[in-house]
Amino acid sequence: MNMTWTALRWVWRLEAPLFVGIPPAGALNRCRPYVPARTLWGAVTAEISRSSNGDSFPDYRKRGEEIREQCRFTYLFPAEKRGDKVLAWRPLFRKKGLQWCCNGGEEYLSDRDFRRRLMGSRPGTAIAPESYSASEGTLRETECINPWWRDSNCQEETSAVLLLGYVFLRKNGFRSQLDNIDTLFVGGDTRYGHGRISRVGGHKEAGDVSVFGKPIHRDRENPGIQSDIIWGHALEGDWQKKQMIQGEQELLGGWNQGSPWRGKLTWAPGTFLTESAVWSIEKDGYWKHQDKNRRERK
Amino acid sequence: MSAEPRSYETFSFSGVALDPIHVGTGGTRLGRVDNTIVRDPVTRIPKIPGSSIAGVMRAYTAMAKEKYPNCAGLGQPERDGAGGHCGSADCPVCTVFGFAKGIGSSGGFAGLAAFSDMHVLLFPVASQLGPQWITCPMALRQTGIAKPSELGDLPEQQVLYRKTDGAEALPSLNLGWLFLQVKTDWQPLEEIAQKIEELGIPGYITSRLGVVSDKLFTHIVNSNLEVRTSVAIDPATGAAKKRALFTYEALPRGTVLFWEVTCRNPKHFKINGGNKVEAVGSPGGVRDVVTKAHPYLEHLGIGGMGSRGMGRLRVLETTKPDDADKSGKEDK
Ligand SMILES: [Zn+2]
Repeated sequence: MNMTWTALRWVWRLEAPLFVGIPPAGALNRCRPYVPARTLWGAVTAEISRSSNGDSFPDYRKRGEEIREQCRFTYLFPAEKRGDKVLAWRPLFRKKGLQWCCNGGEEYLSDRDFRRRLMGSRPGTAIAPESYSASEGTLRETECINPWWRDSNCQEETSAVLLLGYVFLRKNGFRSQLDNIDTLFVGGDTRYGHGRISRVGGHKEAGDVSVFGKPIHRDRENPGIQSDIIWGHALEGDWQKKQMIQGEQELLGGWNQGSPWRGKLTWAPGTFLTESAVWSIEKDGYWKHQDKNRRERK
Repeated sequence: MSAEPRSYETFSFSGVALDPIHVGTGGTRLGRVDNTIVRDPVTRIPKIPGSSIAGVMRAYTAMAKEKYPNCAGLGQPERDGAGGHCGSADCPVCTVFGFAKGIGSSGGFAGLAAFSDMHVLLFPVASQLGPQWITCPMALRQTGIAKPSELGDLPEQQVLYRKTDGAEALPSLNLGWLFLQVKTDWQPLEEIAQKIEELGIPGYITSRLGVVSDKLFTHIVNSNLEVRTSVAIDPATGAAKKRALFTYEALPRGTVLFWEVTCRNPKHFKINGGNKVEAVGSPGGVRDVVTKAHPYLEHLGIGGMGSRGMGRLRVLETTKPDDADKSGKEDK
C-alpha cells in the first residue's frame, strides 16, 4: 500500500476561551462553535514558521503555501471525554433546523441548547487613558467557546471542552513538525489570552474508515471523505441540482494578512444530502464534490 | 522534549489583593457597575478578563516608560491628527501591547504580549484559627500548577484537606458559617503547596492552605465576596445623584490571583510594512516591559474604583529558577 495521504486524528483541549468570529462584527461579536480549516492552517503556519526559524524573520508566505499543499485539515469540532472515549459534537440540518449530534447519532441538541452548553460571552470596553475608566461607546460583547462544558442540570462534574479533528499529510510530510506542536493559538483576540489550545496525547493514525466515522480516500491528488453530511464549507456546483439538500448557504469572507479576503458562496457545515458523495478537501480548505463516475485526474 | 526553540515563552504571575478588587470590566462610567461583574460562566467564580488586564497594564507601562497618555488607551488620534499610538518600532508600549493603526496606510499590530484571565487561586475565609486560604482542584488546574491529567478529584466532597505539618489536629474547622471535617490524607497536597510557594506566595498564606471540592469552592467564594454599597456623585453638583445608589461585589483583601503572560519572539514580526521590532529583542524582554506596570498595580490598582480605595494588587516575585535573575526586574 502506497497511499498519498496519511490521516491523523488529533485532540486539543481549550486552555482559554476561544473566539472564531462570524462577520459582521459589531456590538455583539458572534463566534463559530467550531474551528474552520482555514483558521487552523493560519495557526499551524505561524507556529511552524516561527519554531523552525530560530531568531530570524520567517518567510510566512512560502511556508504557508507549502503547508496548504502538503497538509489538509478537517474542521475541529467541540468534543467531550466520556470514560476513555472522546466524542465530538457535529452539526446536522434536520427538518427542525440546525441540530448538533454526538455519540454516533444517539444524542441530539438543538443549536440553541448546544450553544448554551458551549458558549459564553464576555463584556469588554476600552480603557480611556485620561480617566482609567471605560471609554464611552466602546462597550461590546464577545461570544466565545468556554474551556468547560456547562451541564444543564449542574449536578455532574464539569468537563473540559476538547476539540477533535483530523489532518491529512501528503506522503507524511510535515509529520515531525506537527508532532512538535503541543500548543497553538487559534482564532481572534489572542492578545487577551484567547485561543490557546494544547494537544491531548499524541497524533493517532486514522484508518480507512474513521474520519468522523466516514470512509476516506487517501490515494488521490486531494484527500477525500465519503459522506452524506458536509462538515466543512462546500463549494457550489452542478451536484446540487440533482438532489435534495437540507442546509444553509454562507458567503465566506474575512481578512488575510491585513487585506480583505473574499471567500466563496458555500454550503455551511451540517448540510445534509440525500445521496452520499466523495468530498475532497481542497488546498484552501473548501470541500469539493467529486463526480462519482469520473475519477479525479491526477 | 523538542530541541527546536519555541516561538513564545509563557510566564506565570500571582498577586495578592491589598484592597478589595471589584471584578468588573474596568469601567466606572458604565453606571450600573453591578451589571458588569465578570464570572466564569461555568464555574461561577469571579475573574478578571485578560482584556481588562491588558488595558490596565498598557496604561501603567506607558506611565513607566513616559509614553503616557498617547501610547496608552485606544490609540485613536484627535481630529486634528495629534496624539494616538505612536506605533514606532522602538516604542516598548506599542510593540508589546500592539497599536491601533500604523503610520501612513499600513495596518495595526496585535502586540507581543498576550494576557490570560486572572483567576482566583487562593481565597481567604475567616475561621476560628484566623484566615484560611482555600483552593480547589479546578482552580489549580486552571492555573497550570497541576496538569489536569495528574490531578484527580478529592476523595471526599464535604471535607477540608490540609497539610500534615504544623496543622493543628482539629477534627473540624469553620469557614464562615460552614463547618467542615479536616483531613490530611490527600497525597498531591504536598507537591501543590510547594509549587504555590515557588510562586512567591508568602508563608503566612501557604501555612494556612486548605483544599475543598470544586463545588464547595464555588459556594465558599460566592458567599464570602465583599458586597459594598456606593453612591454615584453628580459631577455638576458634587452631590450624590438621586436614585444612584448601587451595590457591587469585590474579591476580598488577601485574595491570591494567578495569571499568565505569553510573550512572543519579537524577531518573528515586522511592523509598519517591514520594520523590525527594535524596542525588545526576546520573549524575556517582552516580559520585562510588562513587569514595569507592576509597581503601579500596587499603588493605583486594577478594576476601576481606585478613588474608593479599591483594587490595589501586589505582584509577587516568583522563585522559580527559569524566571529568576532576569534583568530589569522591579525592586520592591
Ligand atoms: Zn508608542
